[in-house]
Amino acid sequence: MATVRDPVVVPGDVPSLELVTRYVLSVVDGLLTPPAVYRMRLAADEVATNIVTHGYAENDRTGVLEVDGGADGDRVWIRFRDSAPPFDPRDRCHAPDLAVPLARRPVGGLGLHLVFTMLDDFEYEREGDRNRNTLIMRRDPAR
Amino acid sequence: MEVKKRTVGEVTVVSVLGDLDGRSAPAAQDRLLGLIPSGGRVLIDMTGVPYMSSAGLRTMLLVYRRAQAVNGAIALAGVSPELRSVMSATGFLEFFTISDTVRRGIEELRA
Repeated sequence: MATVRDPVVVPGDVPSLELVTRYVLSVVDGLLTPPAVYRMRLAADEVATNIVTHGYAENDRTGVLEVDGGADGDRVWIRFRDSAPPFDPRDRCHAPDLAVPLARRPVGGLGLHLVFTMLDDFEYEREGDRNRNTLIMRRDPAR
Repeated sequence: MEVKKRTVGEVTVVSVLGDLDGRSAPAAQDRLLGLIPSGGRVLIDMTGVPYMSSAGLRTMLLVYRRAQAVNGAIALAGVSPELRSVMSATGFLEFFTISDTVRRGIEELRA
C-alpha cells in the first residue's frame, strides 16, 4: 500500500539541513534496513546540501526547500523541490578518478558521486520554475 | 562534534566524536589540521563517528595531505562498515591504513 508523509518546508540554508535529515530518517526508519537507511540519509544530505550551497547561496538566491517522502510498493522515496536555477545532478556527476592519488584529487565533487552510488534509483524533473529530485531505494516487498 | 587528543608514546591519538557532515566538518577540519605534528604519527579514532558525508571526506582528504606535507604518518581506527562503504565508493579506502582497534592502530604506527 502506498504511504505518503506530509511534506515539510524549510528555509534553503545550511542550518536547515539538520531538520531535513531528521525528516528523512522519520520517513525511512522502519521501511528500510539500517544499511539502506544510512544510504538514503547520506544521499538526501548530499542532495539537500548541494541545493542550499550551490543552487541558492552561490547563485545569490534565497528560497525554500520542500521535502516529502513515502513508500509505494517496493519503492521508498524522498523528494526535494527547490526554486534554484535549473540543475540536473545527473549532468554534473563525475566519478572520481580512482587512479589519481589522494594527494592530487580535487577536493570537491564527491557528494553527487555518492548520491548515485548510494541510491537504487534517481529521478530529476524541472517542474515549472522548480527543480524536483526524487531519491529512491528499493525494499523487500515482504517487509 | 568534539575532537579530543591524547598521546601514547610517540603516537598522537585523536578521537573524533559526532557526525562529520556539512555542519560539523569545517570545525573538525580546523581542529584536526592543528593537531598534526611535523613528522609525527597520528592515529585518528573514528569509533565515535556514526555518520560521515562528503564534507567529512573532504576533511579526511585535507588531513591526509597535511600529514603528507609534514612527513607525518596517519592511520585510522574504529571505522564503521557504513563509513568504510563511503570511503570505498570514493576511492579513499586504499590510501589510509585502517586498524580495527585503537590499540592495534597504535602498535602499527609505532612499529
